[in-house]
Amino acid sequence: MGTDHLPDDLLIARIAKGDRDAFADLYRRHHTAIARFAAHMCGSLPLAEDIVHEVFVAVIDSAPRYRPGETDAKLWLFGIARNHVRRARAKRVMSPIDEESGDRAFTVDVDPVGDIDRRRHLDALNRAVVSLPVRYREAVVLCDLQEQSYADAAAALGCAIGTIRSRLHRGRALLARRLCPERTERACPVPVTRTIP
Amino acid sequence: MTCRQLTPDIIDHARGLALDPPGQRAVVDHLASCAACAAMFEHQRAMSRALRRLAGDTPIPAGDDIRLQKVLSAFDAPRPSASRIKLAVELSLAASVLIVAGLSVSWKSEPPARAPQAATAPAAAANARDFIVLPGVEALPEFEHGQVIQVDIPSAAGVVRAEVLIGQDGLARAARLVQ
Repeated sequence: MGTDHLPDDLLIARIAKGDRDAFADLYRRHHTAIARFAAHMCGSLPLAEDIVHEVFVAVIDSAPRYRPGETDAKLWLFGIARNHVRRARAKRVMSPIDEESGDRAFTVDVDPVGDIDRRRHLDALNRAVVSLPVRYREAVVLCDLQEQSYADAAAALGCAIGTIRSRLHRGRALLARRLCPERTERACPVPVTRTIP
Repeated sequence: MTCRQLTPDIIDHARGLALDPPGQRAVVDHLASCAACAAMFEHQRAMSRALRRLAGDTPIPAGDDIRLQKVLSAFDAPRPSASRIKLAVELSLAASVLIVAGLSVSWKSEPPARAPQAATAPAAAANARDFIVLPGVEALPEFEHGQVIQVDIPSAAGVVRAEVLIGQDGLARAARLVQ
């Protein structure tokens, strides 16, 4: 009998016992979400592919330590993926862009937000996302690109909901500033974030 | 409420999140009366649309059978048995305990006659509470979960309690003295 009908928790429990089919089902079930997360976080398809592979290899060893009920399996996988993305970043094999370069990066000659149909504007937005400091990038990728709730993103990243919310807002403010600084300044003079305890 | 106070709710509203009714009313009323925030709201809404399009547009690594087989080959590869992992953990712990014990002994055996040392003892004690990365291993990254275990180390001055930080890989990464 196959394992594709089993919930994630049971799949992971079976993986811990060496069930190959359960592992393959978990891979098929969550590959796309993890691949999308890795691709958005890295901005590099080959690197994202390596990270996806590493994430699922890590699952093999981590499965016995997975505690059902403490976190959702997908969020657990996001957490593993996040660690691998950060490790890749630590090895400097990711984006060559200086994360803290802030205002000077990715100014485009037209407003990409107002005219998003063109491919190059999406490219500019993609580069701007990849260039965000990692804590803001994680929030933007999980909440905006993966459409996870604040609560789920907080669980995946191991921080408070308020932290995720403020990081997301800060990340979006950085994106807006990088893509069209003049418009952002003119449009709203107030700070775009506040600190949430 | 001020623009600054409402900005997070305005962004959430632009992202399409449901606000509670009073919050929703406050945002709508404010946007009707504040041109700057209304412009910011439109800008954020456009940002959300762009991000959604980006989410669907970004190429992602394929999850085809070839890649699945590659991962499955890792699954099939022999891995260290649980007893070997346990042995590695125990050896790591033993090394940690020895290092902590060594630190403890050298700390306790500072000559009391040296006035400057005695004066800085509280600071030294405070520093000693920090985790010390064990030789030959990488420090636990700040984003990685670890497990802290307490160990009691017998020494000439009595029992010294220490904490050892164990990484997700089961290896001891750092240690610190508790008392």
